[in-house]
Amino acid sequence: MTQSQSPTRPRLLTGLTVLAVIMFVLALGMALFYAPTDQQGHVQRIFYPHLGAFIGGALAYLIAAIASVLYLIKRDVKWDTLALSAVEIGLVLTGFNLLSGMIWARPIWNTWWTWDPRLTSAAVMWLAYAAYLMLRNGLEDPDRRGRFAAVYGIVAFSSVLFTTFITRVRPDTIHPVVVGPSPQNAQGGFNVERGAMTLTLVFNILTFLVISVTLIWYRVRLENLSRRVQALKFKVLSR
Amino acid sequence: MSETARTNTAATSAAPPKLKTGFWRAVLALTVKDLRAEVRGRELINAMLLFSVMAVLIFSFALELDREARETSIAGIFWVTVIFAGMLGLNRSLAAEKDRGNLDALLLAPVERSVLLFGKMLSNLIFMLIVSVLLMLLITVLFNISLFVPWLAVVILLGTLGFATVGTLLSSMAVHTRARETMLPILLLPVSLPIILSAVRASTAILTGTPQEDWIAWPQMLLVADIVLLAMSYILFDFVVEE
Amino acid sequence: MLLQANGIPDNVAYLVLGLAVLFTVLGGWLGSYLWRLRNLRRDMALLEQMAEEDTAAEAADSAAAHSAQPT
Repeated sequence: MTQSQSPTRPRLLTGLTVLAVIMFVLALGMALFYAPTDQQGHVQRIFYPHLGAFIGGALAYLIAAIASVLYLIKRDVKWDTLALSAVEIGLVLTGFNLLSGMIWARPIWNTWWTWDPRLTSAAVMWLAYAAYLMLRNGLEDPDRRGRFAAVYGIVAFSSVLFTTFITRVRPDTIHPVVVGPSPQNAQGGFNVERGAMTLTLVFNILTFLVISVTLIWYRVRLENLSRRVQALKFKVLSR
Repeated sequence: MSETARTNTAATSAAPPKLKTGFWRAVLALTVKDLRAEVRGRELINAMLLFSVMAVLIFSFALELDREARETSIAGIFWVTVIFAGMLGLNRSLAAEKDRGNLDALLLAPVERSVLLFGKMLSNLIFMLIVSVLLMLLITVLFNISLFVPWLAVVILLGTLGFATVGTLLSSMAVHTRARETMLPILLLPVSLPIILSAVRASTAILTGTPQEDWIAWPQMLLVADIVLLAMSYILFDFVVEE
Repeated sequence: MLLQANGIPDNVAYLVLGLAVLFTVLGGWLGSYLWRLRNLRRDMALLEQMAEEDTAAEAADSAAAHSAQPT
């Protein structure tokens, strides 16, 4: 994070950006042209970025939780910045995860949305992190904003874990589990057994992990710039 | 206290030398203070009770419950009402202290900070339990479904305990935000979903007479959630009231 | 259409919609990022200019004060 203090873009970030773009194009290309067509039809191809975005978003939320803990311990503003940035990117990625799931569900489950525990828990997770941003907006004092946001980031993450755990343990979900045994009620499941499908899935997951980290980094740099602008504004106006 | 222990406490100057009042005695004192203020003013509990009665009436009109629908949805109505009534209480309990300038005084008191959390949590819990008892009576009379089942009482106790705990932690943050009354539900509802979910599922199963082995997992989860939330709130509250 | 002969439903439209959403969500964030970045850079330039003017004015002030001192 220390490199991000400098206004010029560090070489690592440039490399990461190029890597993310190339991987994104490749991952989409694999999902669209390389992976075999499933019995469900072409809409099944959206599953690869669907799961990839969820895992990328989950990584972002994990980073936010760790950064929140570190902020409370160290009180270094960089951890606050990292937590905020990770939450924002997590919202973007899990937002796509929710929307793409709905689009897949329409032809397969014949409905855009159903109050399935797994869908509900994913939606509530998104709302919890949207609340995180609202809490930040409602606080003006930077020290208090950092502390409260960190506290809420930790509470939100643990309760998201718990909700996820509950809804995965209970067997009354219709959401298919593609890797490992599917719940008995699952509808619209498909097996990722063939090599090309597994490869596409793994590559999509890796791609979204890289995208997640890259976007968080850009967001951190934006926040650092914003803080510098604030500091300078304060300096100029207080003369 | 021995001489070495004395120097130890002096060395770790962050820790207060010796607390005048015991932890739980201070918690109890704070709870009793809240309850006594409530007995005198009755501004909070009256609002909560009235709200609950109105909510139940509105639910019964809005949902047009027939006999079967009552059995399956009454637990949901009960919990939604308890939770929103509880939120009314949570919003006031810390906001009132802040508006009257008592919050700083309470924080200056020579006791551990988390006394404030547990004291407020206990008084909120008691208010929610009072509302629950009234609702149980009301639903038993109005809907002809007896809610006086021992296991349901356990579930209500566990559910309100978890909700009051995390609710007190979050409302102590919400009072400092610009739009504090609107901020609390936005912060609290997504985070308390595990509690609400387990409590509603358990209550519905109990009321519909499902065999115990089918629903016993829900109260167990509720217990785990309560322990996690209590521990987390205890640790995190000190960071909230730092200044 | 070829697919339907094999009993595979034709739902390409939903795949296209899904991809459109993917690009909208990621593109939307990118757009908001660039917009915020542009605004911040503009603010920064303006503030730096103001700061420079301030220091210049101060220097002029102190120079004036110095020249006024001897009398």
